[in-house]
Amino acid sequence: MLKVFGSMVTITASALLGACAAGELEASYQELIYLRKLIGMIQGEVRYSRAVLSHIFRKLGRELEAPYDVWMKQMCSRMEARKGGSLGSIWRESVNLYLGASKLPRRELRKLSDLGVLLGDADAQMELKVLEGYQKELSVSIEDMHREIQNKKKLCRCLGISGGILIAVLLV
Amino acid sequence: MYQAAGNKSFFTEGKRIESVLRILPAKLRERILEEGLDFKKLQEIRLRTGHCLLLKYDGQERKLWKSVPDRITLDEINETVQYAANYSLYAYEQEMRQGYLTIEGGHRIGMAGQAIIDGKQIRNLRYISSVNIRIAHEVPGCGDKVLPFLVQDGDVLNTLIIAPPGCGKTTLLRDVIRQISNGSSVLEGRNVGVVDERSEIGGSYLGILQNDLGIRTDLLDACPKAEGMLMLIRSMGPQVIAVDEIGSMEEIEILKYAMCCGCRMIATVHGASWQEIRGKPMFQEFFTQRLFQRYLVLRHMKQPGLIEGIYDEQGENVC
Repeated sequence: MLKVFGSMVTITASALLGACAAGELEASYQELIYLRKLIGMIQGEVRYSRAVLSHIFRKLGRELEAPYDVWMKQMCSRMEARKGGSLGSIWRESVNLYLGASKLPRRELRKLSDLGVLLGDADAQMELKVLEGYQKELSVSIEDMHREIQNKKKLCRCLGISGGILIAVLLV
Repeated sequence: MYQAAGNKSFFTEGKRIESVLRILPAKLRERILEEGLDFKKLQEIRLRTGHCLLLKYDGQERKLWKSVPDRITLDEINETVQYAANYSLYAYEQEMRQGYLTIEGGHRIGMAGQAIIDGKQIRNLRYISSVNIRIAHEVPGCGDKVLPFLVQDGDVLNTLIIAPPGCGKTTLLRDVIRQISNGSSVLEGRNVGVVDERSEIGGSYLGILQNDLGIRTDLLDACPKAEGMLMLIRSMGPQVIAVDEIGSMEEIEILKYAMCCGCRMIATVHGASWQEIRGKPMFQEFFTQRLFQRYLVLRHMKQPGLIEGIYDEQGENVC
């Protein structure tokens, strides 16, 4: 009886681990979608109101969810502090500091860090094209990830359950 | 010269100068603070690559020069431009085409560098090598002496303020607007519509006025003057319209239209004298049709705000 109970616990725990891993993948996917939405919001503000970036970041800081709200608020205050450094370096540091622990895939985080160098240009059309281009890149990444995670999620769940069964068999 | 009447200011002098110092790189900021200046007397800060920092202080030029490392570098110029534009040059694209941008507090940052030409038009500036920061001051009460000459039988007269750059046109206009709006001993308060194309009159920042323009003033900020005057006439029913630095035929046409709509007009224009403005073909109709009843000329002297004369439509000195 005890063995059966132990096996059940092992299999359940392992299956949960698999489900968690699948959940992580789903969360990464959702973060990417949220990031695309955020970039769309910045783009909209630039196109419609021609507001300066620090004002856009302040506004978005009030509207977005964590950790993006903190990132936006910090970007705004660091830009307004005017303690030196280019926009690119402020952006890169802030991305690493406030989004480093987010669920965004590493590769996407690197791409996001590099975006700051291209912002703040003297030409509004150029600014919009940069944001549009990055949004397109994000869309491609989201599509790729969507295709990948369907299989990966299944794999994680299967591995979780089968791993649990294997451990249970070995233990019994 | 302008006399401060000690009225309550929206934007304190300390806050006003802070907004200027904030756009300078830390080293230059410290350099200016070391001088222990009375910032009320600071009129201009000039930065030129490879040269020392120059100030226009109390009507005099002042060099901030200690040693060779005091020369202003290109990086410092770029940093200043980035700070002035809040790292968002695209937001000032239209203004940059004209070689300047306006920051919080209504201070004008003029720039010189290499023009980027698109066809026959200037598209933008690059390789900026000089920056001129013109500090806006609010001098409440500076219009006290002139206002009685701009009013007749309790009604505001159409007035054109004439002065070269840096002589205090905008400062005087700002106080005249405030007094017409609030009312004074010579007239009752009027609804004043202000079209502030360069955000210098109101110094509006994030939609909040930094300068006191009176209780009956409606401000159209960052709006082209011609369109703005029409919008105000249609939407706000102003009794008096005020605009700064008229200079295009379109603006003059709308200005004439506004006068025909029963609005009184207070405007400023660049010029050295009444005769000089009269001689310009663009402004001929002002004189032939006697559109303005008062021409207020500010003198080009070291001190801003000195009045050379106030003339009526026939060029007779009334003051």
